[in-house]
Amino acid sequence: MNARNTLLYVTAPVNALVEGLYRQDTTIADILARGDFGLGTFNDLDGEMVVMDSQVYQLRSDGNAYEVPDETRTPFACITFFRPYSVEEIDQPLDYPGLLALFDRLLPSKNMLYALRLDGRFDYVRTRSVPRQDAYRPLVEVAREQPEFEFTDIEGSMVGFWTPGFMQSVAVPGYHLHFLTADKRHGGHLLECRPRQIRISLQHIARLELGLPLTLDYLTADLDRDTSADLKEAEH
Amino acid sequence: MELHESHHGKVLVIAPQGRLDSTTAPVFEKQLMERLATCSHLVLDFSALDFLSSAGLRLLLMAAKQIGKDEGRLILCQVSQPIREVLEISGFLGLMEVVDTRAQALEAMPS
Repeated sequence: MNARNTLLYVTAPVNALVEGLYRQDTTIADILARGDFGLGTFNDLDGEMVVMDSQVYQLRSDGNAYEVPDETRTPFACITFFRPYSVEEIDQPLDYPGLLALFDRLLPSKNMLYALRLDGRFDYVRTRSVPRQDAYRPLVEVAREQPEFEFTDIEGSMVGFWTPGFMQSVAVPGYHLHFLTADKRHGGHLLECRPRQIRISLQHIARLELGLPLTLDYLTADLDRDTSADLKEAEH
Repeated sequence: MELHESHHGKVLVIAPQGRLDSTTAPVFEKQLMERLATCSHLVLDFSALDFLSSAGLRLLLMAAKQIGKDEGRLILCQVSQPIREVLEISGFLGLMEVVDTRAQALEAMPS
């Protein structure tokens, strides 16, 4: 697949999520029609989403992964058909800043979207999973109370994206990754990790399709506020 | 990774040998940028390049930008099919001037 034909589908602007709009109409069946790889969350902010190899996993605030019925809805998800053209085998332990620096060397241009997948063994992984919420509570407040989970000497995968900073109202800017253990039982939104031996697969994404939800909440929301500081605190 | 270099008039030919990935790219980047400080016409001969990852694509972009600033020319030649596929899938093939042989690349350069 040529990079010009690759497309990232974002179900709704992330700004809406940051402002506490935690219910939209997009179903899991809808997003699986648009890709086999991605991440996001679920209505009522009920955990972190991982989409990998066309399977959707719900990583709830108890730290466990659950199967997801097709009719489940999401207020925010990013999805693509993952066809990596570049694969790097990393056989040396890295700390988290070292991993981020490595990512930086892998991106030909930071003005493009990229899908990233990591598979392998990690000395350490720290994640969080947001607890189910009532609507309208700002994401930054919710994130302050999120349960965190630590894994040591663990095998698993990370799926996610690089989004340029100038797209910060559309998707989480920078590197945004969700983790799933190899046994598909645990995981969450990545906060920190130390890989030991991993494979990094990467794909350019040259087109973006953004859904604008036809819901009363979305249509009547004020989304003009600069949410970059909130987003940085909530997601990184 | 080894770099084989030769000068043909104003044109520098670099033939990287081995893998151009995140491990080797930093060394290649340093050497390439040093050469481009004094030379603005570059042929990259990929006949001995076994592997090109996105880290290598980043280097190609950096080289193309630098050469463009100096109103020079960058031509790739002897690109194997697997590497051509990486260039094609990534969308970079349309950004780069690619010819079959080193002789064709040198012929296309300003004399």
